[in-house]
Amino acid sequence: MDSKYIGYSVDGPCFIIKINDPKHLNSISFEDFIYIGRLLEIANNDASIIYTIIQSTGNFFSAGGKIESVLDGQSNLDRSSSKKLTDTFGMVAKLNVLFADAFLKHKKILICCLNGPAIGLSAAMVLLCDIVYGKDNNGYLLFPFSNLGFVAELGTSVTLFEKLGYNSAMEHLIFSSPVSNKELIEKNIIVKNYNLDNTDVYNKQVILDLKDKSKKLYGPSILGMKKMIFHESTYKQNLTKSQALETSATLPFWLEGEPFKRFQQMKNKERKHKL
Amino acid sequence: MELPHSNIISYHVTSPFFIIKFTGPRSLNSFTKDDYLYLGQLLHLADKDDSVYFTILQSCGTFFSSGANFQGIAKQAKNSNDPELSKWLKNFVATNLYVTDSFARHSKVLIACLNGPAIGMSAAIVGLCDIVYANTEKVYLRFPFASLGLITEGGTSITLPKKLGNNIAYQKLMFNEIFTHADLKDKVINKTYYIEDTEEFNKTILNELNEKIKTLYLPSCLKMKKMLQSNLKDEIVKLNSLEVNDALQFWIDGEPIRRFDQLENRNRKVKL
Repeated sequence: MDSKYIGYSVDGPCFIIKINDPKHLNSISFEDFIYIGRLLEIANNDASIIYTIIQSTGNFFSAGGKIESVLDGQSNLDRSSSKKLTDTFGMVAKLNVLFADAFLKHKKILICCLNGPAIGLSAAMVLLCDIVYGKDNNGYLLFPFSNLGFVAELGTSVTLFEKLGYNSAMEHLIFSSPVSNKELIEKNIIVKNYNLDNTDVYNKQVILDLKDKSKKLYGPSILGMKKMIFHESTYKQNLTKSQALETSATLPFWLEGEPFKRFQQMKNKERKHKL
Repeated sequence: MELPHSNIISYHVTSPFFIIKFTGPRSLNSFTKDDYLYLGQLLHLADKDDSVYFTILQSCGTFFSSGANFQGIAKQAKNSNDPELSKWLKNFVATNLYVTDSFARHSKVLIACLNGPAIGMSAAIVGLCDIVYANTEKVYLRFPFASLGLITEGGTSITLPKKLGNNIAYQKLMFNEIFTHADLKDKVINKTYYIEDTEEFNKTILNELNEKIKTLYLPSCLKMKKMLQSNLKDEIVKLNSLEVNDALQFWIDGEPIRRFDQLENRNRKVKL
């Protein structure tokens, strides 16, 4: 089990997952998403860990799923073929159920260090974290589902509503419009803006701060509170429900093929994320 | 009903207001177990009084309430020969469960007049109120559970994420950071009066309320509270039970008392 583009390290109470493909704006293959899910499981089972931190490199947190990964999932079989149905279901479910569930099972405090924009599945991952820090004022989260021909995935039908409010969630989902760092800061989704230029300096500073703060805190209290806030909440119940609802809702769109058409256009540079 | 006595909590009824006042400024309005129990009983008294539509919490001095009197809890624990389980059921679980539930299921409109900071269980109570007014921008709420070896109590596991936002609730709770006036404004604090003097602040609010209710049909207010409350009440009632039962193990393990002793020793050294 290994990945060229996803690294991890342990530093005191911190389990650090690092996205490391800045040349491709840290877009992530489906295999690597599943790998991140397995890393979450390792962190979850390590009693010394209190925080699981997701960091990135360069100036783009992550451009989302790799286009190649998406196109690999396209089946040329006939629409009525059972194999096409189960293959497509597998592609959709491994992210919306398997990967999503790694977050829902997580007992440690999930911290995301935004160093720039995040798109699609990666932006959804940001919203599944408990705490988000920002590197600077630049950046946004983009959920271009309507632009790409499918529906809200990876918990966003719940997280966006819960964290941005109903009307804002509608606006951004329906029109695939970016959620600016300004809105993220105003709505306390980014709880602290570090105002730094260099991503490495920023990443290191977050870890130093966490280790420093932890000295006076009682770890079991922190994890005990997360248990109450998250694992006993209707929010979590709704997220669990969303795994099935989102998978069933998005599947017909993928079977019909509209998303593949649009991803192919993106690959051919005929289509851009509408920013 | 025979009410237990509290030296630092008083009440009076001026229909439609049931006014509860904290009167222990020298101890920054910190409360013993019995004070919290008395507070819970007053809420039940207000609940049952048909002439009451608003239950108002007022304080005095510069602190709304600094929370549970930890010194009292520690002393009680050390002097008790009870087994750990029954000791903490009695001293922590029962009180906390009862007080939080009294607020969560209160049928009158709950208004807190925040004249200063609130800490711990008292800050949780502010989180359970329907409307909060602040005297100045110096008010804050602090929940030092992670520093004291405790976990969220008083329904804060649900009230803080719901009222203030999920991510900021994590940041402030996990790292024992204060919720400033800026964090609370428009989300928990409905209005800031910019009146330093607490007595004048309390009086101004009552005058305003008296003015406001002149044209209102008060049974409408109570029915609407019932409707709105239903969004949160069931979750608070559930979480209240889970919170105290999980916290029980922390008390039995002894971490809160250990940390309190350390704090005391440090304070003693500073004084020497």
